[in-house]
Amino acid sequence: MKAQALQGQDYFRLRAEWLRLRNHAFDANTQLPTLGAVLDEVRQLVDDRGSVGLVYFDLGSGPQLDVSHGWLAYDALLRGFAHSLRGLASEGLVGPRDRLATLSVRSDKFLLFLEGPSGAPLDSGSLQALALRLRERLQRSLPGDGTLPARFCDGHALLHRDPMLRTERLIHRALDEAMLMSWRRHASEQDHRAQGLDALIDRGEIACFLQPIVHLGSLQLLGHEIFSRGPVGSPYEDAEILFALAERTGRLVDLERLCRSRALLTVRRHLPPGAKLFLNTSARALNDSDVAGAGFVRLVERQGLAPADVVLEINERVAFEGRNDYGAALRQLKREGFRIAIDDMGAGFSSLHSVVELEPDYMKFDVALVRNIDRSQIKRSLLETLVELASKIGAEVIAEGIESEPELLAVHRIGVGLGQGRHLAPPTAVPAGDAAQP
Amino acid sequence: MRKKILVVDDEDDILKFLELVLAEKGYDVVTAAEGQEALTRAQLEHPDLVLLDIMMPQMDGWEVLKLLRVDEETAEIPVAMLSARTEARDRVQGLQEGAVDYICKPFSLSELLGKIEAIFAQAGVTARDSK
Repeated sequence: MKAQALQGQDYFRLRAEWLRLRNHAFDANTQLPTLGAVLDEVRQLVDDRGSVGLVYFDLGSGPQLDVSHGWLAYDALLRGFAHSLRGLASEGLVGPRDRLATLSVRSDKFLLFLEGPSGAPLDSGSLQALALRLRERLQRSLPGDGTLPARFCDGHALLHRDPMLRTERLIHRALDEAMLMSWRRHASEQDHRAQGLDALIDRGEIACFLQPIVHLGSLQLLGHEIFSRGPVGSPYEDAEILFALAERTGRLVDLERLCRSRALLTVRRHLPPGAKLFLNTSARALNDSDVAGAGFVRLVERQGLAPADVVLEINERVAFEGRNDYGAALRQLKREGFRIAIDDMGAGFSSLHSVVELEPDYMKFDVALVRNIDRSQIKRSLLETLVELASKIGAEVIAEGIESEPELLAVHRIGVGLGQGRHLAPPTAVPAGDAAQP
Repeated sequence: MRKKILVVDDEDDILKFLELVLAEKGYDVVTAAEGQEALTRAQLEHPDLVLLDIMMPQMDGWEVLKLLRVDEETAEIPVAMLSARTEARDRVQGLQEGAVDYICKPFSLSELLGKIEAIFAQAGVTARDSK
């Protein structure tokens, strides 16, 4: 009896150890093995077939969707992509001996090892054709509803067995080659887009949207957030893509100047008296003479607004990373009477301390935290902590992205005073003609 | 059906206290004093809820949670973390690793029982949703 119990203990200890090891070799989210876990099978395939093709897909080369849309949404995107990759087998694009893997645990890079058509060994021409078909097929599987502007880059490489070399190293070398191809494509696409962005800024082709922020108790209007997007139907339509691209190509300050002046020019017609204007502001713009200088106060006042009516929204990540560089600029703006909001809180936050230091007037909670909060105890408990913190430092809290009645009730019950989201009021476009009038 | 709760904490006092009050409320209670024992108990007993202390010697609560989540047999069991720390960072980690709630020590009894009931109510709703 005692011996059996002991064996039981050993079994569970071994099981835990096995799960721990499996955790390193398999990605729990996508249910795919890592490269390390399939390396031996691929080596076997190379030895048997003489040549094997590698196609590489990178979802992380584009805009950083986990930063902008939260890790939950990104995890779901990766799961969906892995599902599509597995689905290729049922369409005959991937054979039974072909191997699918993720680069590593939690990676957004995927590898497909292909033996090619039966009979003849795979050559570079047919690999290229195959890679193209796979790309087209997979592009169709990405979410097309615009909620998550996902993109991927791909590259491929052919490996030939070489008896003088270790096959595993050939596999790694092929991976380097495929990654490089993917990066080159990504870079040339970026160049192309950067040119498009230059033209967009020069012609001032941005669209402005207003979305109300309301008191959840009375449903009275506090103000509007104004945000900008690229032209509808263009690759710049999504604000995250637009601003990320501007940041990478050094045009962020110019783009923000354009958006800011548009925003301020539209308020006279569209902002009800007494309503506040929430204006997205990057950290870099805080040191831009346009905002940091006295000219900004004048510009605001010329539109019939007081600085106290203007709330500058600073991203939480920026608030953390740049608190030393931008702290002084922020304090100056506060002295001039501007209000400060920390945007996207709850998306990542490494340190609440830095947020507290900035003494914000508003704390805006990220969509990722609000989504389905009525069904998640732990999100509620997290929000409770944040609301408590906000009340300690005298900041008002705003829940962003409220899309349903249960979400609204849940955040209100926790003590969130202000809300924004489609369930309350969707964003409305400011007619371009209005904005263009100086 | 009586609900079964697995309580994991390295402090004997807390374990005994929780065992007593939860049994009083009509729950079946199973206890474990360290991580490996918790995993074993979860496998054997299939509890409806795990209350899991974070700060434990050897295998801490996060490690236990991770292993519970990757094992098909225990992946669906709701886990609420117990912790003396109130940092939001811990709550975010709890969210990322798949915990359903985060309970700060010292907790009041009514708060704890309220949260447990809410978790079971929620689990019932989700189970119905998925049918």
